[in-house]
This record gives sequence, structure tokens and C-alpha cells, in this order.
Amino acid sequence: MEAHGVTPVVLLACGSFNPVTNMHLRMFELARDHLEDTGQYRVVKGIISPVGDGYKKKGLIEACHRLEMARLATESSAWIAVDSWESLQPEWVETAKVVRHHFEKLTAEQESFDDTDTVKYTKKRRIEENCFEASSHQKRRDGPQLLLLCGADVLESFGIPNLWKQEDIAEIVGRYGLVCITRSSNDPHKFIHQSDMLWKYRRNIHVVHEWVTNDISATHVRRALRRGRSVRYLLSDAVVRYIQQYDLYSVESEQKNANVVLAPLQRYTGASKEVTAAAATPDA
Amino acid sequence: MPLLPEQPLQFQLRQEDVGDARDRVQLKLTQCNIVIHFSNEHDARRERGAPTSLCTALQHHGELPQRSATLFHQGSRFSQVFSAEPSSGGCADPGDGESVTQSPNSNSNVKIKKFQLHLQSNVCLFFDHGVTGLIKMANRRVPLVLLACGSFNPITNQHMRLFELARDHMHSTGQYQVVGGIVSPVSDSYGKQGLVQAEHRIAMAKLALRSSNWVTVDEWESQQPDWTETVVTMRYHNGRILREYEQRAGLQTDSSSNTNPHSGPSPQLKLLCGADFLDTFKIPGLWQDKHVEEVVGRFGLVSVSRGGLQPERTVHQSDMLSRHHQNIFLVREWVRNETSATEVRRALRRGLSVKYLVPDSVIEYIHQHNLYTEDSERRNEGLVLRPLIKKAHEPVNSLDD
Repeated sequence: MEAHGVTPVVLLACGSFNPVTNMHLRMFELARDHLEDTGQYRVVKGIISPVGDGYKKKGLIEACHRLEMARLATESSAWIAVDSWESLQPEWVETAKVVRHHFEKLTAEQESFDDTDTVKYTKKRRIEENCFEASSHQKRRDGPQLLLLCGADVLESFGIPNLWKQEDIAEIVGRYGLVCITRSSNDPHKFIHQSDMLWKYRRNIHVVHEWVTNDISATHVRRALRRGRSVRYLLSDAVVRYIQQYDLYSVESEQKNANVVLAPLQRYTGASKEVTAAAATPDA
Repeated sequence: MPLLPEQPLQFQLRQEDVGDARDRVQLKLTQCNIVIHFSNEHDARRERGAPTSLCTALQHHGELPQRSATLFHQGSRFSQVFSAEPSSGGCADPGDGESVTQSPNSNSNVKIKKFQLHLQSNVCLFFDHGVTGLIKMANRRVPLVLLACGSFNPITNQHMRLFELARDHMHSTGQYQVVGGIVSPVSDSYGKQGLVQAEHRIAMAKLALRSSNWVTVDEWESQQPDWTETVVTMRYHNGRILREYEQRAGLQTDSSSNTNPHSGPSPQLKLLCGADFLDTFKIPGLWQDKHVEEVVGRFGLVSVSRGGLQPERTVHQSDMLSRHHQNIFLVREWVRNETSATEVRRALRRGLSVKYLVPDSVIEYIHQHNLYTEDSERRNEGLVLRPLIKKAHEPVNSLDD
């Protein structure tokens, strides 16, 4: 499969998916186009991993609903699927652990797969002097590379105190890699430049410019639903029907966890903080 | 029913039509679902109130002075004035205001104990607590059809969003009931660069709208021998809608106790467009003044913008548009979504994905017929847009004919 230096890639997106929107799905499409356009990658799989209820984000509805909506939304996709492992854990799981879990799972699958004959794709070979170098950990040519897919706001959330552990960021960016889709107002390059750690691993960070802004935030969708407004064509039809069927996203549901501290903040500081910290966390 | 001070309250009622007496204004509430929303939506609650409690409240405040109703709706604030008689109810439709028999006894001092509303569906009732408990009423809604003209080259999710946003907005004014949406793709003779054949554009629109229960595709415009001015398309659809309405109204048997939903205001047609459409009025040679006057004045516009105050400014800067500002409904879409057919075509040319921007069925069709290539984008290259030529040679009849 890697005959001509083409690395298979799996994209993993973590987030609330509260609910999953067309924008989330677009991110996968944009990332795949970008990576494959370099001629060095072939994206073989996309994984949506909704966060568990233990994250305690304001307005986060039950994981079972978020999982089902994500499944409905990805039904028409040939390569994007939903994984429930993270959401089934009793407590909130750090993103680095989720990435690690999926990487180990992929590696195990690959090892059992290695014996089978696989169709080899021939791709035009690109000889680039400055070509991206996969980190040493993932250089194995017979295993897919796992990249965390996110919006630029997640990248910038690395800077929020007590939201991430430094060693987790180092692991995600250093050992695995990031595909970062820019939303209109962020400049990820500048942010990378201003962080020594991110700068060190800049070659593992793929920045994808979304030239056509498609800013369907789940916050906006929930607001529209509260006000009885239509969200058709922002979400897939099946998800819209599901939301109507179960009457999700009301004023009440938005108040869930209103006075609760976000799990990572709680874990890393052990003190109760203003709920406004939750507002600073990226909306995914 | 608990009332909070200094908050405008909104009631939404479902009511079956009762009777057809038009010379009195009577309110008879049956089967009410009372939803209370505060203007600050964080405090909204839902309550199922018994009809009688609202009736009692109305009866206590039975005095309803004429021309004193105020209407609030969430979001933008506007005030409208309604009279006690079910007239066209204010500033939104100057054109087709229906005349209604006024109760000979109504004057500001008459205490009316019961109010009867002829309703087709939901009525919004707004209770302005700040004016010490007077209940103002919204009248019966005007059935409304939204017409979108354009290339639809191809149709995208964004186009369909326009309809959804427009419908929500028009409903929230309390005056309209959107009963239909029409997508009318332009004919090939428009001559725009990159325009693929109408048969494809129509097929794609049909596929996209298969799942919609209120928006349809209309081929009339695309079938005309030459490019058709927007105003002509509007006249055609307006005439068709009115004829259908009259036929249905004529067939309805008049019975004193049965509902007669078609005895109300006649339907209206308004043009649905993006905010950039307003700017096209300024392009020299593209529009005739009298046509703009007719589109905006006689019919009306619903313009959806993606953020920014540009449309308000555009209206403000044009004397003619300002004159008809009550007939121009500006809908703000807060989602920043710059998806356009141009971008979709660009992505397709480059072999990039357009999934989730355009329905799957349309993507399949595009691939099947290999539409939108570099060649297709060069179609009509160098040609002058048909409207710019046509106007010079064959002026369209004005309404006076």
C-alpha cells in the first residue's frame, strides 16, 4: 500500500458533537482533500469520537443521543464512522488518551491485516526536498498514521490555562499529528509561531485553509432550535428528524451543567472556577 | 396565569376557525396551547394553560380601543398597529389590503367581551404588560408564497436554507403563513458564463427538493423562448396562485358552522433573494425602474443576508427602495456561510469534495453527467448577459397595459 511513499492516514475528531453538524462533516472532507492533494497521503478512515457526559460542558446532552445523531449523519459516508469508546468511559478521558487508544487499536488491526494481500495504489511520486516528515513514532510504513482533526479554535485552546496538560499536547502533536481547519477569525500559523512546543512539531501540524467559510456552530444550531427556528440544511435530514422526535435541545437542556466546572479544569486545578471558563472552551 | 412585570409576553394559540361572521370581532378560544416566551429566552417557560383563564383575562380587559395594538416579536423590534377589525393589519402589505366590513358599533369606548378570530392556523397574541394588561390581537395571517429566481447552477444547501430562514422570519412577524416556495431556474438564454443546460439544473433542483414538503421547482421560466424579466415571472406565478386560490374558495361550501379557511386574505407572492440581489438594482441597464417598482412595491422582497448591515444601508441609500421599505423584509442569517454555487463549481473543477454543501443526490447527478468542468465554466464566455441586450430592443409591457 505504501509502494510510492504514500502514507495511509486515519483522521480522528474529538468533540462534543452537540449536535453533529454539516460543518463537522465538511472538516473531514476538507482535511482529506488537503492531505491527498499533497500526494503523500491517502486518507483511509475518519473517526468521530463524541466526548463522554463526564466532560460536564454546559448544555451537553446525553451521549447516547449524540452518538446516535452522529451515526445518522455518517450513514451516507463511505469512510467516516462513529466510535463510542470515549463516550462510554465512566469519567472524562483526556484527548491524548483517546488518540493513544485509537492508535493502539489501529496498530493491532494492522498487524492482523498485514498478512493479507492488499491492493497497492500507485500514486504519482512526489519528490520534495521540504516534504513533511512523519514523526519517528509513526514512520512505520505498514501502519496508518493517526491525525487529530480539529478546528483552529482547538489549537488555540492549548493556550488556555489548566485545560490541557503540557505533556498531552506534546504527545498529540509530537507523536501523532494534527490537521487543523482554520475558521475565518483564527490565524493558526501565528499561534504555532508563538508556542515553542508547537513550533518544534510544526511539521506535524497540517493547516487547512477553509476558503469558503462554513461556520455552522453547534451553539448556533442549539440556539435556533430553542427558538423554534429551522435548522434544515445545516444538519443532515436524519439528524433533524431525530432531534424533533426526541425533542432535544430546549432551554432546559441548555442549562445542564450550568454551575458545574468543566472536567479538565476540575481535574487539573482541583478547585472550583468560574463557569465562564466553560465559555472559553472550543465549541465542537 | 402568572405574569411577570416589564416583560412583553407572547402567546401562541391554535384555534379552529369558528363561524364566518365578519361584522363583529369576537374571540372564542377553544383548544389553546399557551406558550409563554420572554424576550430574554433564558427565562422562557412552557405552560399549558386552560383556555378559560385566558378568556377570563380577556374579559376583564374587554375594552379594546381601536388602533392600539402593539406587536412584539423576538429579535428585531417593530411596532405595528392593528385595529379591532380584521383588516390587513398594518404596514407590511400596502398593495393587497383587503377591505373588511367594520362593525358599526365599534369605537374606542365600546366594551367588547368576546373576540372571534378567523384563523387559518397559528395566531400570535401579544400581551404587553407594560400597558397595564390590554390584550392586543394579531389578525389573520396572509398566505404567502416565496419565489426564488436564479441560476441554481447548481442548487446548494445554502439555497434551501434561504427558504427555511425566510419562512421562519415571515412567520415570526405574525402576519404571514408561508404556504409554498418556488425555485425557478433561469433559462439558458440568460447567457451567464458557466451556466449548464436548464434540463440539468432543473433535474438537480428536483433531486434536492425531493425531501421538502413545501418547496417545489418550476420550469415555466426556463421553458420560455427568451430570457424572462423577473417581474414577468412574478406576474405569471402571482396570477397562477390567485387563480388556484379563487377556484378553491369557490368550491368551498359555505356553512355557518364549518371552517372556511379560504375566505380570508388572498395569497401573496414575494421574491426571495440573497442580500447581494438588492445591489443589482444599481447595475446600469440590468433593471428597468418601473420593474423594480413593481417587484418591490406591488409584490415585495424577502432578502436574506449573511451578517452585516449592508442590506439596510442599500435600502437606505435608495429613495425608491426606502419608499417601499415596509415591503422589504430583511432576514439576518447569523451563521457565516459563504457557500455559493460558484464555490461549489470551483471545487468540482478541482476534484475536491462538495459533500455536505450540496445534497448527495445532486452530487451523484453531477458525476453521472460530468457537469462542471473547466469547459463548462467557459460556456458563454465573452457573451453579454441577455437582460442587458434585451432591454434595449424589446421593452416589456408595463402593468398599465
